[in-house]
Amino acid sequence: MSSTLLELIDVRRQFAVSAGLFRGQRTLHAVNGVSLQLRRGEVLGLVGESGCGKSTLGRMLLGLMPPSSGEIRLEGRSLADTDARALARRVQPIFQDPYSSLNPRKTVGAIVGLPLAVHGIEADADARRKRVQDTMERVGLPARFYHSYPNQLSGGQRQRVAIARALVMRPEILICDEPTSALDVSVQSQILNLLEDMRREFDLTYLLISHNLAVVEHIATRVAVMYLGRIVEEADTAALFRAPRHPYTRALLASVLTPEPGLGVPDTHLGASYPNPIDPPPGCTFHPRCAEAMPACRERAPAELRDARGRVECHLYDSGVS
Amino acid sequence: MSALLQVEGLSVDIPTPMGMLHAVRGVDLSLEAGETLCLVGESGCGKSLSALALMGLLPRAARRSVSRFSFAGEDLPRASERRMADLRGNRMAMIFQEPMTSLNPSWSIGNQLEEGWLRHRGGPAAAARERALHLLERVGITAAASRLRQYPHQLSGGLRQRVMIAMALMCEPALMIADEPTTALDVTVQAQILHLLKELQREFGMGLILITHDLGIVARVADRVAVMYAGEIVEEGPVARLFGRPSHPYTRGLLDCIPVPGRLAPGERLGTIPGVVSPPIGALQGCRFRNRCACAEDACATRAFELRELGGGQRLRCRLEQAG
Repeated sequence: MSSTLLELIDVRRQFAVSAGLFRGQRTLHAVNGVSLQLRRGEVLGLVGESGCGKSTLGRMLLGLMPPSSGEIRLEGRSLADTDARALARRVQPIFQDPYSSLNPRKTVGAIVGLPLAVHGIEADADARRKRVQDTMERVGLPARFYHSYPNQLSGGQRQRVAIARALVMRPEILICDEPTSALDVSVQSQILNLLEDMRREFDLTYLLISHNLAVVEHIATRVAVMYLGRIVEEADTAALFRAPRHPYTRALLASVLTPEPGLGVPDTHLGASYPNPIDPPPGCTFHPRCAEAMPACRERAPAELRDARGRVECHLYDSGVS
Repeated sequence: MSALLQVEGLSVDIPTPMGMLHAVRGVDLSLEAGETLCLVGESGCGKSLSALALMGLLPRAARRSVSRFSFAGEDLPRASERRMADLRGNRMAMIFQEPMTSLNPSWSIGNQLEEGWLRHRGGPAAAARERALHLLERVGITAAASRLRQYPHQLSGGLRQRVMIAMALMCEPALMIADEPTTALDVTVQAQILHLLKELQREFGMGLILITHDLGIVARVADRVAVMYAGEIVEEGPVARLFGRPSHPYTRGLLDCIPVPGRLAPGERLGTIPGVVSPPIGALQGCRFRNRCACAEDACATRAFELRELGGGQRLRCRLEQAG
């Protein structure tokens, strides 16, 4: 088994949010006790609906925000004790929207070269330029774009710039937060193929945050399903898609609309809408939407079951119940 | 048999500094009551502009021309703005991608729902309120009475889209146009909203034109499909035929691009369509897809291609014979 690169140990992150005029502040538990391991060389998919805390988790892994409690370790060493620059050399982001994540007033060359300048790598201007152009070539950006501005590029080309900027530091881990959601389908497939090529070429490890389960199934090796700040199921991709265990995972998979005419639109049986994370339901937080809820689900939170297949947090798998 | 909607030769031109952008060219559409037509294509293919042209909602700079435009037995090619305003929100309704920007943030949900009814039907406000309440319940919104007093920012994205659908239904339209109605929503909510749309379509007997870039949605929702590329319909047909025997290289390319769980072995690559769309600006000649097409020949650069019958209602704009 490959070694653990990044590890989260009971990580929590709270935000104080206004509950309304004159009602004071309330606490939102965006990430509520997550333990997770990212192993070298794998692609871990993190899926869940908007507001489940998956992007907050990504931001903490990038060191952009400390956890409220718990610990994040990079090869055994706490991120709290790691210099921000040292972390940035090893962990780099790719964000969803290549329109807002690139500075419109810098050229492509300056954008891709900025990490090198910040870290004082390749101090020689010619060497730096060469490294930028090499990286651009690797991600399929023609050298003539070196002096172009982001608004002169298409969405797919901009996302290639974002990937080049992430790779120019030769990092080990990429945190990809919805890397293809803003792109057309024909461009999405180009970017997904590129991410896979880069992973092989540079021995990268990915955390892929996405709500698109078909994309996750295509490139992730393992999947963690997040609901209201907690990981409710985790398994290898093939096992998860073949036999999902948590009712929420089943509902997510049922909502994937594959291009098969005649099947119609599935009924997910997820009655109520996503709960307000400021005021989560008692017991299992999924029970108001769950088709299989039992009395126990309203009263207490399910314990985590870990086994050879992975883990699941659901009362259906309590010993003695199922 | 007279169709609910019959459009022939719809074109939209937009002047740009680089020359005239022929954003929509020679689009023919027809739709029966109760039928669902999906317009599918990527950004800039003209699918949204086609819909806006039907609704009379084009941006000011855009020029529309159409040789035939009949809706519910009425000929509309030169209908006045006043006549279109009478039809909009009444006999034909439209819902958009981002419900937050299409709802007015400073009006209550109730007032926005009632506005169209009062404009088109008049009568006592109480009747409009009753209709609004009924429809909010019908689209699955709980505690509908208290929602009427709320404002858009107090609702989640899924609820807002349900409000938009209720608003479109207020005057029982014969035609509903939905432009990427679920693109901004979570997958679970997307399935619920599409489920609701189909249910309501059956109940109200509406014709539905659904615009999307998502072939998964098309397969599950459409009766007929029209694939658009750079302003033209390049292939159209009944949904089972189009997915069973996709014939235009662009249609086939699109289908190969999308990841489908279980279709590829681990490590296999997704299909791609090389290159980018060349915008239809200035004088146009030949097939617009030829610079990205693996099957292109010299003839593709010079010949004009018409939509040609392949049988079974499928039509193709390409030099190629039908795919095997």
